[in-house]
Order: sequence, then C-alpha cells, then structure tokens
Amino acid sequence: MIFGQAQELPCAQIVAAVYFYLDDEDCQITRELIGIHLEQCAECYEEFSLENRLKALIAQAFSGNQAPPELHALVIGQLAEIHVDPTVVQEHP
Amino acid sequence: MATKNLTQVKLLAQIDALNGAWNLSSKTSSLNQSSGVRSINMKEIPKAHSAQDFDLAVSNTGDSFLPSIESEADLLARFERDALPFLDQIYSGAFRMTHNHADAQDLVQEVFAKAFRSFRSFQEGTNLKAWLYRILTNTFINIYRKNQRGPIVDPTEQIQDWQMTNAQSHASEGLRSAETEALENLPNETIQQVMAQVPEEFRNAVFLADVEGFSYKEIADIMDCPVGTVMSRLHRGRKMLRELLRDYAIESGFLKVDKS
Repeated sequence: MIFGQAQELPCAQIVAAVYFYLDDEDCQITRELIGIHLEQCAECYEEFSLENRLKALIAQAFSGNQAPPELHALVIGQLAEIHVDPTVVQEHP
Repeated sequence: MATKNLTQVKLLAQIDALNGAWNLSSKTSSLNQSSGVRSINMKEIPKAHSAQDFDLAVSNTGDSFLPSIESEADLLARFERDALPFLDQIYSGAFRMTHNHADAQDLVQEVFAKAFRSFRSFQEGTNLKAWLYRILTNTFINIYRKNQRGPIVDPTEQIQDWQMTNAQSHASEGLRSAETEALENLPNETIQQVMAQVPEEFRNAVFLADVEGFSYKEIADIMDCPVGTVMSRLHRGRKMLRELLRDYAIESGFLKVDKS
C-alpha cells in the first residue's frame, strides 16, 4: 500500500494502529509515518497518549508482587524430591 | 522411538549391573545401583541436544557408544539456574489469577514441579519465560477453573470488527485530555478493582502484554490461540478497562463531563 504524506493519512487509520504502535508490533503503517502524523495531529496524539498512559498504569498496578521469601526455599526443596527419569524425554506439559 | 530404544538400553544396563558385569569399554559410565538406574554419567560421550540427535546417538549404540543423558543433578542445576529466576514473575502472575497468596504459592509450586519434570522437552534458546507462563496458564485452568466458565469467545471475531470500533472511538475528542488527567489520580487499588470486572481471557491478554511485555506471538503461544484472537482480546480488554475507568472517574468526581 502506498501512502502519501503522513499527515494526509486519515486519523481513523492512525488510531486503528495505536496498539500495534504501543505494543511494538508490526502493522501496515510504519512507525515513522505514525510518528510524523502524531507530530501534526493533536487529536491522535491525545489518543495515543491516553492509551500509553493506560498501559503504564496497568503495568504499575499489577507488577511487583514479590514471592514470599519462603516460597523460594519451598520450591527448591520440592525439586530435590522430584526424580526425573533421564531416559524419558517428556512431551510438553 | 528414542524412549523405546532407551528403555531397551536401560534394561540391558540393569541386567549387566545385576550380573556384576557393567562395563562400557572401560569408559566412564557409572550406575547408581542403590537407587536403580537413575543417573548415567557419561562425560566422554557427545551430548545429544535434541530428540533427533538423541535418535542418532541411540542408533550408534555399540560397545563404545551410548546416548549422552544429562544427569539428574545437572538437569536440576540447569533448571535452578535458568528457570528459578522467574519465580517472582510467575508468582506475580499466579497471584493475579488466584487473587490470594496461599493459592498463588500452591500454584507456583505446582508450576515449577511440572516444569522441572518436563524440562528436558524445553528447547534451549527458546523463550523460557513464555514456556513457564504457558505451564502456569494451563495449570491454573486445570486446577482452579474446573467449575467455572470462562467468557464465551466468538471464534469468528475478526480484526476488522475491532478496527471499526477503534475508528469510531475517535468521536469524543474533548474528553480525552480530561480523561488522561483523571487517570493520573486513580490509585492502583482502583485499577485492580476495575480490572477484575474485565472478563478473564481479555484481562489475561492485557496482563501478558502490558505487565509481562510479551509479543502477540508469544501471547498466542501461551494462551494457545491464534494471533488474531490475541489482538481481539487485547483490544476488547483495553477498551472495556478504559470505559470502566472512565465511568469510575465520572462517578467519583475525578472526571467532569459537560453533558450538553
């Protein structure tokens, strides 16, 4: 697909690419073209900022649940009890 | 096939051991007789890295050639070195699924036990974190979700469907900066509570992308679904969350809406 100037791309196409852009996945419109459009379109820029903020908030709200220190020892203790037959290659669990 | 051949090898080894004649061309094989045929240590024999190598190695079994099998101790050491560093992350994921620490701990133990038993089948060089997450997801579904129904996901859901929705969402422009501002004031607890209202499959896709940073392909592998379904779930989950947060912000006065 051949695009003209990035700012001429319809906003709908840019907005439809927001998750690809923020998730760093490939899509039909290059990051460069999206970048140029965002520099010139305040509305799309707002939309991208909002989605980006949301992504960061989710990451912040749900990460950092550290395992209790005793769990590490429990898991190691448990592994020592498991015997894996070296001659059997198991399928994926 | 490898397993069968190896079983035969193992039986021969046992018979030889019983006869007191275990002797492999004076090489370094050893057999732990007290605990049966558990560890075979053959340092001088080339390592088999894949099932294919394994077959080749086995087919060469003569008086001087036996398949090299990583000893249990080596396997455990490798597992502890490579997999255990993900304990906190897997725990974090388990806690998001179970919503309580006791169940999360049980789940993590089950996951690492399963992972260790199957560790030989894990292909080195591929994504270990994603592999562990897949075991986590499957274990959770098997243990904790037996009596629950997940959301019914339409198998025909198409990307175009949500692309349309996304394009339409460009309408409420005036709200957007106020919305961004309102988000700044929301505590983590609120986001956690609101996220709990998003259907599990959508929510998990969002966690895997936003908290764990997995690619769409990796999420597809973990959730065992096509990449298109991942995109759809992500899209729906995020849209729902955004709407729920917006409603919450309006209700609690963080976000003022001019209803004209």
